[in-house]
Amino acid sequence: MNVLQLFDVTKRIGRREIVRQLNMSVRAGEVYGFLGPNGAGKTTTIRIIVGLIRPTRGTIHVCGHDVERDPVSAKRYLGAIVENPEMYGYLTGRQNLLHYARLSGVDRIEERIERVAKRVGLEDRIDDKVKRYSLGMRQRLGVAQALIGDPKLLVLDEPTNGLDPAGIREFRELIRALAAEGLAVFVSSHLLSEVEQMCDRVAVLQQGSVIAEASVAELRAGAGSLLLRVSRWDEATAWLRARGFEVEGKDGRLVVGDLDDARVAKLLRDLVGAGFDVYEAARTGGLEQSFLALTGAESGGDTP
Amino acid sequence: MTLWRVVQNEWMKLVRRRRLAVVVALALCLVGMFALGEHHEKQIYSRVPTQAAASADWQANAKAELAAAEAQLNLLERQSPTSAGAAQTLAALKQRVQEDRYRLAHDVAPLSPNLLNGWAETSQFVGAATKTFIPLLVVILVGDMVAGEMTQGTIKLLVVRPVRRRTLLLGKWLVSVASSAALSFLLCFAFLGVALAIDGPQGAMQPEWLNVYVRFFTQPGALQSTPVVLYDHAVVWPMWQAFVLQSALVAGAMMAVASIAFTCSVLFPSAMVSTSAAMGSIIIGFVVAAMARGQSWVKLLFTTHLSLYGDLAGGTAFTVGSPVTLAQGVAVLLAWTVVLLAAAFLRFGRQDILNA
Repeated sequence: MNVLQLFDVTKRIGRREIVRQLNMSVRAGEVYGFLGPNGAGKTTTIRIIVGLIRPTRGTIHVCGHDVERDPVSAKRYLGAIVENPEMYGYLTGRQNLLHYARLSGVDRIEERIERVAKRVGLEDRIDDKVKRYSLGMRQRLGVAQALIGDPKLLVLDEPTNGLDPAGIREFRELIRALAAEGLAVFVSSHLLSEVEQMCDRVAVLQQGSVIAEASVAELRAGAGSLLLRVSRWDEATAWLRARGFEVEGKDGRLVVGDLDDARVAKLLRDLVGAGFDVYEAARTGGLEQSFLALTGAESGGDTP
Repeated sequence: MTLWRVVQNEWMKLVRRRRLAVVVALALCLVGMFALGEHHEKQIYSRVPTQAAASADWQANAKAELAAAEAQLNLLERQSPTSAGAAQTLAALKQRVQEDRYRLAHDVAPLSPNLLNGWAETSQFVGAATKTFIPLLVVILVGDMVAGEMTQGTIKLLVVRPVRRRTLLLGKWLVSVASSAALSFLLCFAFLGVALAIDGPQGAMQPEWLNVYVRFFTQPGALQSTPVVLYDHAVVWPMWQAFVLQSALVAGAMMAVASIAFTCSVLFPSAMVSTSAAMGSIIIGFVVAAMARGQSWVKLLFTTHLSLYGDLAGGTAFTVGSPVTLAQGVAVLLAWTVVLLAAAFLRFGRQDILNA
């Protein structure tokens, strides 16, 4: 069942189309990555999904309810962190959760707060004022407020921004665990590695359009390139070119592009068979390659 | 039901914000200043020589005075006055008759001249404060109700809840007006408490005129018209009762101010800009009203009617330069409130939250 569905969502501000004809769907139990360079329109899309921005055209359904026409029903199934989870610093963690629980229509509020605080590992500091929380604790409280209404869909906008590596890892495990419990998670990121480790499927957004949608496994197995160190590198370059490979050669090193598993195996066999010595061979990530190829690599400033 | 939950939330936030502490501190400063002023004035009054107490024979005096005034009034009332002077004489007689009748009916002796009337002092001070300090306190308290959440970014996590935007806004507005009304009402009684503690409790039953009518006589060739307070439809209330009414009217007017500040907080997404805009509109309102004194449209400004009690007791008519009634004042404040709130709800309901 599709928990989140976008139909032809377009947002125009002034003359500029921020996002264009987005069609996406997220199933229960799935972590869906929304990948794109900064400025591609990720945040706008997220804000449209959670009802902060009205789409110019198109509709969004959360558990079958139209976010625009029937926001109260749709948002009952929704938990979100939009950019930084800003909380009320002058209130305690518990008061913050109480505040959001009241609005989410939670029945037994005290009980729910205890459970959610425990879920994110904040039960010891829940009665401290939020202004005394560290960034990691704030992030956890952010997840807690998103979970307070027992949602079916979790929408997270760049959730690991500013977290240290341990925090990122912890966060990733939490998200995977939530998905395993049946939650649908829609998470945006400009970090490829993050999406690769956290998500089941990914959509790549560029300049407001989804230019590709695939499972992470597919992308990973997809075309990548091979880094080679061989004897007689200039000869080898010519030999490979003659066989129709895309090769760049320089100072004893070769980069062979556009390869999948089968082609890599064949290339290595043939190269050795032709009498070249292979000193070193390394695959570079297929996903990264795909991502760079898809986004044209020009905006890769933030992409590792 | 949902609205009640929103109201609970907003109340929780309001009482825990630092702004409330700032407002309370400023209010206490104000009360302290008033106390100092009262103390000073009391010392001046205590130097007035005590006259022989008029306690025993004030009633005989009042009866004689009343009879004389009534007789004179009978003579004069045949013709309606055309000049300011004649109207003044007639009005003074009517006031005298009303006062003496009130004093005799309720057995209220005039206050000894070396005693300050704390009730009247407070009433006067509150009349001034409701046009100056109290609106500013209200603006500080609620001038960032929505803009604050925009600036902090917390508005996002509010709007993504399964609650309609108009319900959120309505809850915020209810808390804004309720807290502003409560603040100003309590402040009025804090002033009263201070004044009574310093001046003594006397004066509660002294007469106060409400529903007076100020008529403006224009002499041929004169540049300015002369205001005359007429008592034809006036009612006399005991001071304490009038003060309670005044406090309630202050609270009402401050609800209008809170609504204006609230609208600013919806229209301007920065907390600082919205607070300044609300404050600016009040100050500009006062300046314009003072500069355009006598123009008929001054009555339509909300700043003119911040002292609704002045509309009822005659003070506002003097500042405006034409007759004013309480009904007009209430209508003007209500109209501003309704129009601005409509704008706020329209805006907030449709707004794309892009940057918060």
